[in-house]
This record gives sequence, C-alpha cells and structure tokens, in this order.
Amino acid sequence: MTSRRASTISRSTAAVLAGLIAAAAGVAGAVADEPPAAFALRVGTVYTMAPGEAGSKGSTPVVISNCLILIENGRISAVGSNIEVPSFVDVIDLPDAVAMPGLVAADSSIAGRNASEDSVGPRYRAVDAFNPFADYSRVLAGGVTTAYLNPGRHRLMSGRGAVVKLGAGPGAPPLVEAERLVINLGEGAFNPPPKQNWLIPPSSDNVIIPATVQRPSSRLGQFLQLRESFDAARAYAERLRAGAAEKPEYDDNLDALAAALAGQAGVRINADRATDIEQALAFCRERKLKPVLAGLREGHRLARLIREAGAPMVVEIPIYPTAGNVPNLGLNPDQLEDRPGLSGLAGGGPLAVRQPEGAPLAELSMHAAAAMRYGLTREQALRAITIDAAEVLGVAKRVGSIAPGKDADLLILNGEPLAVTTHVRRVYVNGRLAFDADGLTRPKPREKARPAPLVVKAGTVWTGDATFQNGAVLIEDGRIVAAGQTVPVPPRARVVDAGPRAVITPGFIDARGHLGLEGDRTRAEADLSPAKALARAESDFARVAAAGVTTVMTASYTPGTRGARVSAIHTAGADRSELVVKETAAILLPLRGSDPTAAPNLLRETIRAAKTYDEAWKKYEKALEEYKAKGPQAAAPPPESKPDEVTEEKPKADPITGTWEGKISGGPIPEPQDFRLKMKLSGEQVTGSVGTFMRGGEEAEVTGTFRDGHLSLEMVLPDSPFGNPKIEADIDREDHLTGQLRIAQFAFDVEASRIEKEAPEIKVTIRRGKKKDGKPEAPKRNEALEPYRALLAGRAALVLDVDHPAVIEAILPVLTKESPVPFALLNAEGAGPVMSQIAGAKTGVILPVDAVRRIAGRDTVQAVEMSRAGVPVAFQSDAEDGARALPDRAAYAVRLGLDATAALRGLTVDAARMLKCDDQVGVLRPGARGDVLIFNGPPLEPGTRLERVFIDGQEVRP
Amino acid sequence: MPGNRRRRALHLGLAAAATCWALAPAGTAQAQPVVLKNGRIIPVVGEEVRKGSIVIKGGRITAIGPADKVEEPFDAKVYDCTGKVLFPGMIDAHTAGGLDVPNESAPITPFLNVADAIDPSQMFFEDSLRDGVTAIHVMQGENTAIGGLSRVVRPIGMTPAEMTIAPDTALKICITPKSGFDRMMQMATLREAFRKLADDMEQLAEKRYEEKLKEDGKPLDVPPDEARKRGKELVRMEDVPEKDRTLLLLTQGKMASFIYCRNAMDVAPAIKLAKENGFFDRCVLVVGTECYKAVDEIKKAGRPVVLDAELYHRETHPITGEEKKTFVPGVFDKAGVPFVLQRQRGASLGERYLWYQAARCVREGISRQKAVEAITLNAARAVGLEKRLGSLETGKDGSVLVLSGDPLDVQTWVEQGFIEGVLVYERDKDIRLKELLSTPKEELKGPGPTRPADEETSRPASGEDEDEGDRRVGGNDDEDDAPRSPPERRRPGGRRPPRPDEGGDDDE
Repeated sequence: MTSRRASTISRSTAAVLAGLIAAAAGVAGAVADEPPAAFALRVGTVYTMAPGEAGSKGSTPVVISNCLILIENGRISAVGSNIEVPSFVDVIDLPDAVAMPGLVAADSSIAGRNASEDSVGPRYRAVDAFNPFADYSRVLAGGVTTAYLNPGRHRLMSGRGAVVKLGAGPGAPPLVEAERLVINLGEGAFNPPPKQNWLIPPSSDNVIIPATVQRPSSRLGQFLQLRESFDAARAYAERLRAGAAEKPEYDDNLDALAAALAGQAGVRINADRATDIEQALAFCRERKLKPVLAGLREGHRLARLIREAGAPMVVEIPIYPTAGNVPNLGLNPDQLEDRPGLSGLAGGGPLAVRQPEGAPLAELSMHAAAAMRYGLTREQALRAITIDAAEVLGVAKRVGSIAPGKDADLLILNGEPLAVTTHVRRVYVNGRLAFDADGLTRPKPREKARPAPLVVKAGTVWTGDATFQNGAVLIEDGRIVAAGQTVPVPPRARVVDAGPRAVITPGFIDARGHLGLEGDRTRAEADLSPAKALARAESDFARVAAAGVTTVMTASYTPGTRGARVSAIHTAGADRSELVVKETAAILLPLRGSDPTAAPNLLRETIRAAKTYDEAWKKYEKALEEYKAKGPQAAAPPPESKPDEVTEEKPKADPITGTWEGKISGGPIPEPQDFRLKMKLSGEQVTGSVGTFMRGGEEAEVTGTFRDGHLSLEMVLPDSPFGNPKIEADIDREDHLTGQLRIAQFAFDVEASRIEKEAPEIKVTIRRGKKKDGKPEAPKRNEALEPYRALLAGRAALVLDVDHPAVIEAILPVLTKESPVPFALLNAEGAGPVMSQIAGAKTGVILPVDAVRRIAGRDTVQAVEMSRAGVPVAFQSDAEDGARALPDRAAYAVRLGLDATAALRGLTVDAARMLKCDDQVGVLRPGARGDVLIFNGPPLEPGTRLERVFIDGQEVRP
Repeated sequence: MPGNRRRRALHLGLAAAATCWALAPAGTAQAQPVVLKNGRIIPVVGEEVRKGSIVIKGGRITAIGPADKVEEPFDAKVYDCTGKVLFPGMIDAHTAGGLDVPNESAPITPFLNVADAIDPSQMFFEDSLRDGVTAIHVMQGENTAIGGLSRVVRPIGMTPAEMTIAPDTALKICITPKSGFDRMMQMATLREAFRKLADDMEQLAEKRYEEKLKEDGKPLDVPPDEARKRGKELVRMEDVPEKDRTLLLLTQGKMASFIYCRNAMDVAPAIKLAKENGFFDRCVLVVGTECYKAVDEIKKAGRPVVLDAELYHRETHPITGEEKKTFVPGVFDKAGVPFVLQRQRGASLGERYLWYQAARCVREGISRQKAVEAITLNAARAVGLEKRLGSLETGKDGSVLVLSGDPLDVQTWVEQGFIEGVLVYERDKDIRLKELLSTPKEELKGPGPTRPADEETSRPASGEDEDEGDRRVGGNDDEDDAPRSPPERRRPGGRRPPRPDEGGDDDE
C-alpha cells in the first residue's frame, strides 16, 4: 500500500497553508489529525452499492474494477475507473483490496437500555448515552460505521432512537439526533416494575403515595396502554396549543410524546409474533402512522400484509456464532421460530437486518451473510447492511453507498464482502482513516514492526512437493504457516488474490552464486563466512529478487583447499538478520583437476580432522551435561582421554617426537629466522609447541597430523589477524624436514632438523579440560572446522566441485560408505560415464553454467542427461547479480529437453535439498520462509510474466 | 468501629483547642495586628520578595513588601520568619469532605444546603489545617443530578456558621449518572427539572397577573399565554416555593454552579444544558481524568476547570490491549486552559497534599507559576473569592502560611498558619502530630507490669467503648473509606521469640 504524490510543488504549498492554518488556530496538533482535504483511492474492486445505469431499485450493485474514488472534504466527489484526478491529489494504491461503503447497522445496543422504570418513557433519548469519545476500534474492525442507537427493547415505549457515525471523532454531530419513538411489543416489555413517584420534600401536603402498577402485563394491555398514552398526549398538546385557560400540569413524558407526535417523528415497532405485527399494522393504520417494523421473526406469515404496508423492515437474523446469547427454547410449542423466511418480505419496503441482542456489532456482516440462508439473495443481503439499512434509518442521502456527494465512509476489505474469511483492513469515516489493521501492529520499543498476516491465493499453487488447484498460502511474521487447498485467514490479514490463471511457486534458488561479494576474489577458507560480509541489500540484490531468485547460495569465487563456506542469503531484507537464511548451508570443496588418487585421501583427511574436532566438542558437551546434572562439587572425574593429556604410552623412537630446530626463509622476511619446534606424536596426531620470530620466541601451540611422511601442522595463534599459520612439510630424510609455512597469502620455506629425540616437555599451557571446580572447559573453537561440525551433524552439505569422472568415481565411496555425509556435486561436466554411480549415490548435481557442451564432437545437454538418469539437478549462476538470468536459463534447459517440473524443482526444492536448506527455502511448507512468486501463467514459459515477488512475506518492488 | 477515629478526633481536637488555640478563638476578628517579618514571600501574583514582611490588620493584608520598606504598626505582634517561606493559604476548590453524609438519595435536591451537614469535629478539617489548606469549598458529592448549595469554610471553628467564609457558593450539578441511573435517565431528569421549573414559573406569572388585575379591579383582558408573559415581572421571590428558589436563581444567572463531568462525553451536554438554562456564565466544570479528550470544548467554553485528584488517565486499546497513560494537567496546560488541582481525600500519601499535586505538575513540565496558581489563585477564582483569597496582596484576607521551605518541596511543612490574621496553627503545638511522630512508649520499654504512665495513652480507647454508637447511628459515610480499625497493638517486648519448629527465620 503505497502513496504517491503527483506534484511536489503543490505539496509544499499545502504544507505552507497547513502551517498558516495551524498558526491561525493557535493550537498545534489540532490540525495534524485532520485528513487531507482531497485524496483518492485506487482500489482493485469496488462495490458501490449505488444503483446502476438503469437506476432501477434493487438492481445488481455496481462492481467496478480498478476503480478510483476521489474524496474531497470528507465527501466522495467522484467514482469510476476513468475519472480525472487532479495532479496535486494523493492517490493511495490498494490493488488487492475490495472497497465497499461503511456498513449501516439498523439496530444496535451501543446506547444500552434506559435504566428507568417508566413503561412509557418517550422522554428518554438514546443519543444521550452515546459516547463519541469511546474507542470503537472493535466495531470499526467489523466494518460498521453508521449505527442506530436503540434506547432499549425492555419497555413498551422506551424512548427515541438516534443514528450516529462511529469513528467520526467527537466533534461530529449525530446523523439523526432524535429518531422515531421506539415501541416494543411482546413478552420482552411485559411487567414493568411499579413506578414510585417520590415527592420531595415530603410533607403533609406532599404525602408519599403508593407505587403505581404499570401496564402492560400481557398482550391485552399493550395496545390499551399505547392508545391511552397517544390520546393523553394528544389531549395534552391540544390544551397547550389552544391557549386553554387551564394549563395542564407539566408531565415530561407526555410532553415528549406530544412533541414527537406533533413533529411526525414516526414509530419503530419491535414485534416478533405474527399477532403483534398484525395488531401493530392495524394500530398504525388507525393512527395514520408510518412505522418501521423491527424484529419480524414471524414476519413471513404476514409477508403479503407487510409488503403491502410498504413499511421499512429491520429483520432479526437468529444466529448465535458468538457465545453467550443463545436463548434456550425449551419444549414450549408456542416459542418463536428460529428460521425466519425472508424471501417473502423482500420486495416491500427497504429491508435491513439486525443481530439478536447481545451479539457483538462487529459481526454484523456475518449475520447479513446468514440472511442468505433464510432467503435473501446476495445482493439483498449486502443492501441490508448498506444502502437499504440507510434508507430504513432515513440517512440514505448521507451514507450507504459509494456515490458522488455522499460521506466518504469506506471499507477496505481483504476479500469479497460477506465471505467468512473476509476482514476489514481499513475504515474511512468522513474521509478520515478511522481504523487501520496495519496500525494495530505498531511495534513496541525495541521490537521490529510486524507486518500483517498475508494470504496469497491463485488458481494453481505449486508448493515444491504438491500442486493445489485454487489454493492459497498463509504467511505470518515472514514464515509460511499454511499452504494448500484452503488456509486459515486470520482477522485483518492482507489477502492477495492473483486470480484463477496465476501460478504460485516457492522463491527460486541460485545454487551457487557470488551475490554480495562485490567482486572480491580473495581465496577463502572455511573459517570465512560470506554471510558475515553482508551489510544490506543494494540495487544488485533488488535486480536478482525482481527476477524471482529469492535465495542465493553465496560462496567465494576461489575456495581454499580445505573448503569454503557457502551461505544461503535472501535477495531482500532490511538488515543482515533478515538477509541471512543460513550462515553455513554447505562447504564447497574444490576438487577440480585434482588427482583421482589424491582426491579421496584429501577428502578422508579432511573428514577425519573434522571428526576429531567434533569429538572433542562432543566429549566436552557430554562432560558439561554431566557437570550440570551433578553440580560443581560432584563433577565426574576427568574423562579418560583428553586432547591435552599425554597418553602414557612408551615414547617410541618415532620420526617426529622430539625437539627440532631450523630456519624459516623466503617470503616477505628479509633474512632467515630461527625457530624451535617441539613435537610429540601419538598415532597420527601431532601436538607440540613452536617458538618463532612471529611471537618473539614465545611458544605457541601446534597441532596437526603426520601421515605417510607428510607433516601438516597448524599453529594456534588466537590473536593473529591472518588466521593460523600452517606448516606443510615432508620428512625428506631421517630427522630432517622441509616444507612450507603459510600465513594468509604468504608462503615461507621451512627447514629443520631434530636435535633431541626425547619426548619434549611442552611448556604451552593449553587451557582445556576442567577448571578447579570441575566445570569442563570448552575446546578451542576452530572456525575453519566449525562448518564441518555442521556437516557431520547433517546440518550442512558438502559440495564437491568436480570435473573428471575418475575423481567422481573415487570420491563417491568415501562419501557414501566410509563416512556418509550429505553432499552434492558441482559442475560434474564429465560425469557421463559414471552417471549410474551418481544416481546410485542419491545425490544431486548443480549444473554448470553452460547448458550445452560439446563432448566427443556432439552437443550434450548435461541437464537432460542427468535428469533422465534420475539425478536431481540444480542451477547456478556463478555470478553476482547475473543470477537474474537464472530462471531464463532453466527455461532454456526445458527448451533443450529438460522436464519442466524437474527444472522447476531444480530452481526450488531440489536446490534447497542439495544444500540442506529445504527447511527454510525452496518449499512452501509450514515453518519455511515466506518466499513466494506469483506468475501470470505457467512458470518457465518465456511469455509468462513474474507478477509479484514476496520475500519473508514482504513484497519486493522493483 | 466507625466511631473510633471520629471520637478520638473530638477528644484530641478539644484538647488542642483548649491549649493552643484558646488564645485566638477562630471566627472572631483579629484583635492585634500581626507582622510576619523577614520571610521569603511567594505572593503568587507579582514578584517574589526575598526578605519581606506582611502586615495583617483587621483580618486583611495592609502592607506587603521588602522588610525594610514595610512599616510595622506599633502595637503589632511580630513573628520573625527568617528562613521561612510566606505563602497564601491553599484552597480546596471542590470537596465533599467534612460532610456527615455527602449525598442525598433523591436526584433533584437544589433546596439542600451543606451547612446542615458539615461536621466541624471531623478530622478532615484538622488535617486540612495541618496540610496548609485555609479555605475549603465543601460541596455535595457526585451521586446526584442537581445537588444542594455549597459553602466555603475555614478549617477551624466549632459550628458551620463560625467556619463559613462564604455561604451558598454554588449548586452542584452532575451530568455523570448517579447510582442506579444511566445517561438517558440522568439527562431526562435534568431536562425535566428545568422544564418543570419554567412551567411552574409560567403558571406563577399567570397567577400573579390575575392577582394584579383583581387588585386593580380590572377584568381579565388577555388570553392566558399573554398573561403568562405579562406576569413575569410581577413574580416576587417570596411567591416562589422555597424548594424552587435556588434553581430559579441559577436559571437567572444569579447562582454559580459546579458541573461534574466524569467522562469526556459529559462535557458537551454539560455546556449545552448550562447555556440553554442560563447558568453557563457562572458555571465551573469539575472534570474527570478522561475529559482531557474534550479539552477543545472546555477551552472554547472558557469556564474555570477543576481537575480530578488523580492526575493520570490510563486506558487500554480495545484490540491490542496496549496501555496509554496521559498526564491530564499537561494536556490542559498545553491547550492554554487554566485549571484547579484537587487533593485526594482519604489518601495517606502524597496526593492528599495540594502542594504535592502542584509539584507533580512541575515535574511533568508545567511552569512553576501555573502549578502554584492551580492550588491558590485559580481555585479562588473557581469559588468566586479571587478578591479575598488566592494570593498575598494588599487588601486580601490575611490567610498566610509560614512554610519551612519551598512550597513545592516534599520536605516542606507548615510551621504556622494564619487565617484572616489569626494564628490558627502552630506545628510545635500540634499535639496529635507530636503523638504521631513520637516513638510509641511501649516500644522503648521492655516487657513488664503496666505502669501508671501507660494508662494515659490507653484511656481514650477505653473511654470510647462506653459511648460507642451514640453519635454515628445511621451515618453511612460512603465516601470516607479510610480504614477505621484501630492499629493492632504491638506486643510488649518487640519480637516474638521463635518457636522451636520454625528455625531461625523470622516470619514477621
């Protein structure tokens, strides 16, 4: 819902004017609440409730699509799809909304019932009990903007009603201050309490007289009392008017009744029983009264009589959806019918509906909808709470329809009127925004604004797993709550109905891209997370989002040999917390061009290192749990083996253990530097310490492995800005090693010889294990190995960038049999010969950027080849905002023979599954992020337009 | 035991009067001129005087100004107020305190007068004096439609007549329904009262015209309608039934009224009713907290406004349940509407002091001058006594408080109170205050047999039981809800020794 200013010049003029007015009024803020003098609404569908061109009464209400409503000074000045709106007028666009006139409640108990005991109390005015300062948000949320105030249904003559606007603010005068006299027939008004007339001060002249018993106590008395009162009032008026010698003693009730009769106020007769209705009509004929008939539960028995009388009607709809006011009918055969027949009544005077006493006024439209059960047509039911109700109340010139000259009382709905899931989103009263569902979700301090729930409907909903015809998706707080044939519509939800031809799909996924890196091509190891570099979504993000790609699996251009992290990021969002879907979705391991024999070893080694690290953590976690369970005192004895404990095995003469001395040379250091290395080998694990120039000779911890004559060491320098230096060296001869030391992008040559074979005393205190109170201390966090922990826990996937069938063949057993972890293959250009193995490994392939490749002299479409073999495919952009071309590339793959569904799955669910994100994106299922695309036809058809994009339930606008 | 407090008040009140106030019986004219010297004068109107003197002679202020410029009468009693603050006596502009029963059950009772219900022995008056309130507008409560006549009294005196500053000040009118009524009934009742009065007056006019013709020996010459018009001038007050006289004065614009509006929706009907029936120009609006919403209408009316003693309005949104808190005087201040502050009767803490109410306004950003005016000058205007009360100026009543410090400081107290030049309160002779502030004797003693000294304090309590019930039969003081049960007597010896099964923890 956006607002557009057509002219900034007139805007500033208006501001100046407003300032002048405010200055003149002398009250700051008094003007601020005033609505703009003129504005317009552009609404998707408008039910005007005004008669159509033919102008015949009762004709189908005019429904205008894409309709403009121009509002000036609180009144509607023009309605239509092609009216001229002056350029300086604000236009509020509500393309998804449905507008209709504010509802008119032809009866209500807002005023309560008058508390007097008077059986005949025409002096009471319901308007006195109306509180214009009250907050009517609840009633406005039900759409009622005009209400009749009933002085009560509990006395024969309970007073005079009134008609007021709700939400018009305190200054607005009532529409009708003193409406008709209210007469209530039937059991409800029987047996009023006896009336005590206190004469004050009591004296011998002013004696206390016994209480007067009042009528009616049965049907016999009600018309007797009415006739008596009417006659008395007439006599009273006559004596007053004629200037009679003896003025009648003042009687407030007679005075009021006489005034009402003289002023042709008319009567509203509440009558349910056929006998009461019949008598009431006879009484009105006799007294030449034009009544409004209300209640009419047995009206259908006298349908012809009522129709001929032409009396306006307010029919009670006896449904009780809200608890508490259902009457027990019991076994009395003479009770009121619970199923009124309304079809016979329609066609007489204007017909409005009302709720049973005690029902909340906010549910008026539900009662109107129920009137269709009892015989009203849809149009009649709608009219019964709008224009016809206004006619019953005599206020049809002001309210009840959207037509030029009428008050700007409008409802903005999220669906068709009278539908059960339709709710009011906005209410305008006299052109003033009196209720706004979005305004209710105002954030509390330090809380983010919560958008209104969103319901998206379309002819076809494809969730990634299933297809629903005429389905819908409900998104709340940015997450999908439901998707399917029907979804719940929370009150005040925003509803977007895309139409029967539209198709809804999950947001598309770029299975490997570089969005957000902004051209940064530095090599990244697994300790770096691309998500951490994100700040906010710039225009490149917006471009990708507008193409329907809502999630990008961002990875470094040049991943390090031990793998690089892949982060799943959204292409729209206010800040990093919204942009990042999953910080570590996968680890990208480059095995491109590697040796088919070395590749599996590298893989094994990497996984093994990860496992060691993982186990240390698991041990710690277990110890911590025990500690927590037992408390600090009764902590368990230290676990039998800990990383910092020297195993008691006899130090054998192994090729590593001992003290080494050597030189570091090359790289940026001008002169070779000495260093001393103390190591201890247990199994393949090497622990020890090193003193180098980098720490001024101070010893630092080293860990690593020794295998097949190759030593891999990592120095632990927690405060190093370059990460941990790594030493890769080979034992080229006994007691001598050569190799390289790497810090960031620098490499140094390393050479050292063993000077001592005894197991060295390692001075470095490795603060692990337990504190004094027995609380276990966490192992050192290794950012480079952290993603592997996620991998081992099955929370992340391993993505292997491979190109050679031999490599694929070699690594598949490692990943499926030796240490099964979730994985996917990237590119896999030459996978043809090993296709069956890939299919058997139940993994997926992220297709290379080029769809067609010439292999062995002929064009090969890898996507088709793989898909046919049963291997799920996904698409990558290998670009930043180049990801916007991804949907078209998928479409091209379809053109080259890929199954359309497989392509769509590759853009959504399959990509999500390969990268272990299917709990978040790629599938429309409860709990997933609210990423939804709306197409105006089948997706991946080149002619189909992507109509709208929602990310986290928020619409992305180009 | 509802009578306890009252009776104790009487006892101690009499004792106090006998000791310190015997020299200056209240209600009698000031015998000797008084000079309050060297105090910091906060006159409310005009500049503050750092070191000033006030001369009170014959009950009025005759001179005020810097101490060295004010001439002291030779026979004056001079009070040195060095380091003290001289402040006008504060005014309670609207209260039902001090009344035996604050409301009558009938809805229309303009013939009643609070003079018949004021109970001079009530603690309320003594407390008021102690709290620096020297003029109290005692008025019927809110449970009525048209209530009785009010009056402005001093908080000291033995009879209502002796206490009175101004009798028959205003009529109470309530737009907010009385108990058992709803707004339809309340408004119908109010409208009926005025219409019936107009009708009765017409009848009376006709009757008087006919009498006049009879006296003059002329035959009846005009139709009744004309006679009613012509006879209007002939009606004398003695012809009007006694019970209608006040209401008639009201409609003639000769009587002030205090119109109570608890809710914002009551304000517009109140103004309409007052305008239609001719009493708008002398009405005062007494408004509840929610009435800040109707501040525009109130501002437009331009009549004095008395705010509720509760200064904040709290409401919750019907859908979201979000709470909103509004500082009511702030809204009126921002709109430029002068207002009067009330104090909370029966409150045991800050809200019972007018100065605390004013200080809260200052804390919420209202200027000091406006806050001070709200408890003095504006209140005097509301009760129509701005020529006598509300500020320290030459010619005004010599009702002056000698305060220990700034009037808006929470640690300030009233050292001395003068009403019309008569010293009526001295803190160091306030027996009850001493009693309250002193440490209970039992606390100081260990357990042991009761000594004769104990009987002194316990005697009033035992004396009460004898005349229980003779004074308060049928009195349903429904607005005075202060707890009346006597405080539980402390156990001699202080803390109870722990029982063996309780361990060491003290459960008291």
